[in-house]
Amino acid sequence: MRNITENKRGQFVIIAVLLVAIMIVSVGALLYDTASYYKNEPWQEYSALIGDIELNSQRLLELSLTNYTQTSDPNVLKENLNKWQLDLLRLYPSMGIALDFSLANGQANMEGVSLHFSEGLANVSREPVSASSARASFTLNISSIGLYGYKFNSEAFLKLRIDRSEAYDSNTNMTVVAVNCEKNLPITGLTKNNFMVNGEPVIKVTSHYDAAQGLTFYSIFYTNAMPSEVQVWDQRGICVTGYSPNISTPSH
Amino acid sequence: MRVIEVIIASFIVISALSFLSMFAITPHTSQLEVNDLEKTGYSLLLDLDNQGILAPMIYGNQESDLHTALKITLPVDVYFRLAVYDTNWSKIESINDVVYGDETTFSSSESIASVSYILNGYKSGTPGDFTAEYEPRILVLQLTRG
Repeated sequence: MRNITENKRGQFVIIAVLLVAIMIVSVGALLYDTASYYKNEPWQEYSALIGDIELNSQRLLELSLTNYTQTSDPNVLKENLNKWQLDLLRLYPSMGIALDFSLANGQANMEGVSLHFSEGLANVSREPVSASSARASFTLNISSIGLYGYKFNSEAFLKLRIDRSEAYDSNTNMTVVAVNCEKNLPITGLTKNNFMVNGEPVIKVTSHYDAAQGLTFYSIFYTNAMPSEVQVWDQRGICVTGYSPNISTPSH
Repeated sequence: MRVIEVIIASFIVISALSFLSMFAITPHTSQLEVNDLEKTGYSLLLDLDNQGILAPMIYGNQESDLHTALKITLPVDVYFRLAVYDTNWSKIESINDVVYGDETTFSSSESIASVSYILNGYKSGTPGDFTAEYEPRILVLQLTRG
C-alpha cells in the first residue's frame, strides 16, 4: 500500500514538471511572436510616410494659395489635391494609401477676419484688414499597416493690417502695417522686396516689435501718393492686398 | 525510484528550454545596420523638409547646398547617394550628382539602406511674378557605412 502511494507521488512530480514545461514553452512562443512582430515592422518608415504626407499636404495648401493669390483660379486647390491623392496611390502601390479631403466652404472667422471660403480658398482684399486663406481637412488610410481614419487639418493664412498712413517728409510717405500668419503669429524678416505700394517697388522698409500688442510692425516708405494700396508677399509667396483711405497726421 | 523521477523531470525541463532556444531571435547584424540607416535617412529628410530647406534646394537645383546639408547632418562614416525622380520615375538630371563616397563603397557594401520621400512643389519667381505649380519630386536616398 505504502509503495503504491510513493509511486503515485512520483507520477505527480513528473506531471507537475510536464505542466511547467508546457507553460515555459507557451510563454516563450508568445514572447517570440511579440518580439518578432516589433522587429519586422518598419515603424520608422510608417512614421516618416505619415509625416511626409501630412507636411506636404500643408505645403500643397500654401502652394495653391500662392497660385490663387496670383491667378485668382478658384479651382486650383481642389485640382492640386486631386492630383496629390492620385499620385500617392500610384507612387506607393503596395501601401494602399487613400487620402480623402474636405475643403472649407462658407463663412468663417479667422484671426479676426471674416472670410467666405469657396473650394477651400478665401480672400479679402483692399480693406484696412485684408487676408488670404486656404483650409482643408484630411483623412488618411494606409491599409497595409492597418491605419484607418487618421485625421488632420491644414490651413494657410496671411493677414495684412494697415495701421496708419502719413507723410514722412516732403517727398516720402509712410504706411505702417502688421503682417500675421496662422494662429495670428507675427511674420518677421520681410524686406522691401516683399512689399509694393500701388504696384510700384518701395524705397525702404523698417520693422519694430510692439510687445504690448504682440505684433511686428513694418514701416513702408514710398514716393506714391496716399491713400495707397499695399501689397505684401510672405516667404511662401502668398499675397495680400490691403487698402485704407485714412491718412493720419504725422506724429514726428 | 526517486532518482529516476528526478532524472526524468530534469530531462523534461532541459528539453523545454532547448526547444525554446530554437526560437531565440538573433537578427543578422547587416539587417540591424540597414534598419538603423533607414531610421536615420527618414528622420533626416523629414527634418530638412520640416525646417523648410529641402524643397528650395531640390527645386532650385542646389546640388552643392544639398550635399553640404546631408554631409553635416549624417554621421561621418555614413556615405550617401541621392537621386531625384518625377512621378513617371524619370530621373531629374539637373540634380543627380549628390553623392558622398566612391561608387565602389555602394557596389561592395552588403548593407545599403534606401529611403524615399515625396515633395509636391515649390514656388519660384519674385514677388508679383510667383509661379507655384504642383510638380512632385520623389527623393531616393541610399545610405551605407564606409
